[in-house]
Amino acid sequence: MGTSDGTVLGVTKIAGSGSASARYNVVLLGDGYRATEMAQYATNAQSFVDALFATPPFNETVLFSTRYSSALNVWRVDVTSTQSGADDPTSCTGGTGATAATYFDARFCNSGIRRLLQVNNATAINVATAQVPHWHMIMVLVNSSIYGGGGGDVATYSMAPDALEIGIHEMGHTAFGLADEYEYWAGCGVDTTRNNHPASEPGEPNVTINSNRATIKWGDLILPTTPMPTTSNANCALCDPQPNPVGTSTVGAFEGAHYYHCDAFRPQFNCKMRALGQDFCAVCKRVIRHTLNPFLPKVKIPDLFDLLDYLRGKLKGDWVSDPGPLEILRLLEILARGRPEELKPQVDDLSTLIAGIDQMSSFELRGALLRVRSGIARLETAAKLIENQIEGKR
Amino acid sequence: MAYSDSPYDPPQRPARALRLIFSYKGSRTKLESKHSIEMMALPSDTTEDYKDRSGFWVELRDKQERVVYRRIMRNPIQVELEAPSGDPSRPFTRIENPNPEGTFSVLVPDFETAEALVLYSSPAGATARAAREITRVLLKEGRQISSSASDEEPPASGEKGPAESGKTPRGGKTGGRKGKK
Repeated sequence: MGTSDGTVLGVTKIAGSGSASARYNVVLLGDGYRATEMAQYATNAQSFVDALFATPPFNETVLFSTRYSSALNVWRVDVTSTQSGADDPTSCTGGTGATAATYFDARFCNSGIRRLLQVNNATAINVATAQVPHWHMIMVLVNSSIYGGGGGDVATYSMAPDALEIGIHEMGHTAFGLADEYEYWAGCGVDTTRNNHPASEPGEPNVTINSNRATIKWGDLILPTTPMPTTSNANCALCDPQPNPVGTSTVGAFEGAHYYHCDAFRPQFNCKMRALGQDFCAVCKRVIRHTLNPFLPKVKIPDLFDLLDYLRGKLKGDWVSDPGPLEILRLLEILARGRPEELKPQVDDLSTLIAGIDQMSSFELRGALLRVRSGIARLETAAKLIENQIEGKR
Repeated sequence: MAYSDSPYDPPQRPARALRLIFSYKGSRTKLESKHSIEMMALPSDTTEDYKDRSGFWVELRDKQERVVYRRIMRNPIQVELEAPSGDPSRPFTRIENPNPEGTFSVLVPDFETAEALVLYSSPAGATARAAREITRVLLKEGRQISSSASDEEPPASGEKGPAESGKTPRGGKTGGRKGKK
């Protein structure tokens, strides 16, 4: 069974504008969709993209129209299955006994947990590699209304309401190497061996055993006024029941993380790596940005000129006597030198503008940098004005 | 660990990557294939000393055994499993997998200077214990030279998984993924 229970139809890029070799490539596979359900699969795949791209930091602006989601290509691989759904064995409480002949062999009730939904990883990797050789992450959408999902090298989630959140949480693990920030193993009130975290520092960036303000690994995000640790668990035999004593966005050291009630800390009270329906915490968002930065598209210089023309009209600025914003182009050119072999000025006046940047002295560069910063501040003011205009027209 | 918010960090080079596919059964891993692809691997995490850290990561090492690339990963060897609990307030539950078996992929930059790829993992059943080398691949030769049993050592004092404690995890009895149909 398995690959004899369906057909790989092909692949479609449903998000992203860059080549596969330049972007972070997410591959979506569908299981338990019959040939007549391919339109539903396409809708479900688009829902994943919409939800992911609305999630911070993917929805954050990097520069002008570039968002962190711009670093991603999302590929939908269309795979039919002979039957709809997934196996749902009766050996788990609530299991219906349903069986489904599907391409990736999706099945609930793995390791005795009904909601643990897994597929044949080897088949998923083989199909992804054949269809999108440049893949970075594989997510399998399983056409079942039973709530479930699972992680690992290949993540899964079902089409039950809210199960998509499982997929994004698992992406935090698989794509970005983030740790779980919850403080239990099997469950609060169930665990008896999860009182105190061992003395080894977790390798993952978003959990720690260190609550020292001076040396904690996300210390640069902690305000001097934030207490450290920010919360402490009064009873290490249990999950900490206390509510958040600080603001929701406060970064500190909250005790209870990495499957232990005590001696392990998380950066914020809540995070998508702790609870579904939450945003990623500040530390996780930073890790995601760091991971995606190399995959962001290069700034398109002609687009910048268009924008400058637009702003010139809006602000009635005189860019000759006040060249700050133009200096931004110089800065972007310097930044673009991360890929010098691809540095090809696209318009003559820009070539003139940037001519000699290599020969500028340190003093001249520092002066340029000051002007650029001034220009950026001015552009931000302009952007705010435009935002206000847009708001005013609603 | 220093992370930059800047979108202008120089892109990593070379823009080629190695994809290595491993199979695993129990604590044994086996290199199944290795391919060079024109694509970017993920940027390196810190290459500072990671001795005594727990978790799972992959390293590239040069001739002098220096770490030239490190990527912290979710342990792809499913010695333990995370599952949705269905309880919105505590949305996950975890369980040990007594019969881990499967396939996983590792993607690293195709550095000319990289001599070996090394996988590190905390011992099975002891996620929070210090990781150690579990296998090494000599990249120039495409040869795997070690595959150790990471779950053979007992967990550190004070850390026991539910299976070791004799408790049945919430959700029912344990058992590996069974073949279907």
